[in-house]
Amino acid sequence: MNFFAFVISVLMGVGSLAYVYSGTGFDQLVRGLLILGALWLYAGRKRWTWFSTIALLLSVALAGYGLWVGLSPGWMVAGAIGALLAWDLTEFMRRMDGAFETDDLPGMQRRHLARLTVVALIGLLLASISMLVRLEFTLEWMMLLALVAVLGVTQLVAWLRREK
Amino acid sequence: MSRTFFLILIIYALLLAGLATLHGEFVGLALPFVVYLLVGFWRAPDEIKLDVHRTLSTERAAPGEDVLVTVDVTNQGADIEELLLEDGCSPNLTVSNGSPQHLLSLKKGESYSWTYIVNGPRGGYPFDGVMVEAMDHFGVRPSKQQVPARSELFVFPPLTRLKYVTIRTRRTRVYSGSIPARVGGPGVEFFGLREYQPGDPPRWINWRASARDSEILYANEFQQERVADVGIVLDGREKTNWFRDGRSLFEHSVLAAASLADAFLSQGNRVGLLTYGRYLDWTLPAYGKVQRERILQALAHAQIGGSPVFSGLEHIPVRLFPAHSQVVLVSPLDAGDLEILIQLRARGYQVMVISPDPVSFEVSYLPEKPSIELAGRVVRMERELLIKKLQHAGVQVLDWNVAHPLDQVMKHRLGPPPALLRAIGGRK
Repeated sequence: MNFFAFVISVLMGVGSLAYVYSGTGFDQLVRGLLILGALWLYAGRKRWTWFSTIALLLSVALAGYGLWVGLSPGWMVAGAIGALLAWDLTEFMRRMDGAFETDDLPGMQRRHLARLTVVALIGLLLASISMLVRLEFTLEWMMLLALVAVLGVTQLVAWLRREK
Repeated sequence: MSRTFFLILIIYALLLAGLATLHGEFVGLALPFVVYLLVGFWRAPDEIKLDVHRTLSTERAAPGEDVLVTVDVTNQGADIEELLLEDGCSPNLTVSNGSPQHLLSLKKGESYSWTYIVNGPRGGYPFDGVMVEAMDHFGVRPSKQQVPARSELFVFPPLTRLKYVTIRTRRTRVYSGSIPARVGGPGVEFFGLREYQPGDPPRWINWRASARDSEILYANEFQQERVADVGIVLDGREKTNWFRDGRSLFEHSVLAAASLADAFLSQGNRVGLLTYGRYLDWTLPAYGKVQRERILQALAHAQIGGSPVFSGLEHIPVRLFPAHSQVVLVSPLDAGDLEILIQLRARGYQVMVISPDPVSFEVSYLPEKPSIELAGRVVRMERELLIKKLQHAGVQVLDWNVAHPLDQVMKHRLGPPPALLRAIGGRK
């Protein structure tokens, strides 16, 4: 069940990006995305979580690039969410490998997938709303974002120091 | 890099990209990641509060014997969605049934119990605790800790029951035992005659000797039997124990040491153990069942060592053994050991060597070739010469071909003399 969900996620992530890029003359990139998808599926089977991390980074970077060059934002968000789900499921499958045959694996998988679906839907909904609203980067927005960024970095540094 | 850190990096990268390019869509692209991260943090377990209790079906097992390990875990804290439990059993133990690792959900106040079966070779196997890894829904904030639950499994060496091992020390202790003390008094074996004294049992009177003298009444005196100090030295040197293809005589030596310690303690003697090899592991001499347990634990941990310092026997700390006591060396023997053993004998110790035969052991698994047969004969002659020299020096040597059971060899060579020999005062 997990691997099936993982395959769907990879197809959703890589497929969305490849679909959008294919109609705009980025043929090399599309081929690269298809290879990335195939490798990702193989890496998922091998539980290479490091590869999932790289693949997620690449997918997000390509989604961001797509937004920048003015491709359809909906497909880009779908690509990023698919990549996020695939990244999560690779790690989840690795954790499940630590279970013994008598453990309640189906129950845990069911609950995890249900939560993941809800999170993906909420993320998609919020992203869609933000795209529909079409936020314009006014000076106020920039100042607010800069403030959030500074606060966030401060919190992040504090958290990392605590972790150490 | 942790998953949280990675997600935060992506979120900030998208925000910064939005700021740099003045594209609001980047913020929208970051939102699914923010939601994912927030849900993960929201459901992350604050603190792991688990009670872990482990029981072993037995704490002392024989090599290869199955031991049932039962682990009970109770969650005293908040609900934990994903809990990976890994019991800290030694990697040298073989899990024959079940698993020391489980993944489950554990709600507040809920308990979980599981069992698995292990077995292993001789050794001491501490179970340190249970490694616990609690996860939130998405594994963004894992919490890992070791919950203490100490227990220890000892796999003792196999023990051969030796009914009786004859030793004769020059000095015995005051308590009555089974070793002839060369002192007259109450006992079993005839020792001599003395003048009858009031209080002596009438059946001690030697009527035949008394009939020869009209004045004096003679009474028999018997040899007192007492306990003695016995120091067992287990040779764990690499050069005497290791052979080709990783084969070793050490397990046979350990078996012999354990069986001898058991036999000597059963006879009431005070027994100590020195494992000589990697380092000096000394179990202080004492009596009884507790000492038997101590020695077996020490033997469970005994290992071969290749320390250059202890490559010869000259570092045996002789002062650990009481003067004129019995020293039993369990060793395959090396030519260089002759001098040290003769020195021990010269210091007044009664020295006995139980020597697992390395020549027969090695020849038994080598291919049958004339050259190997010839080499075996040469090495056997060298060994026989070494044993003869030791015997000439007054060292009692038992050359043990490990293909034969120890108890049979011991009974034949070191058991009590037959009744007929005892009656005429003969010894083995």
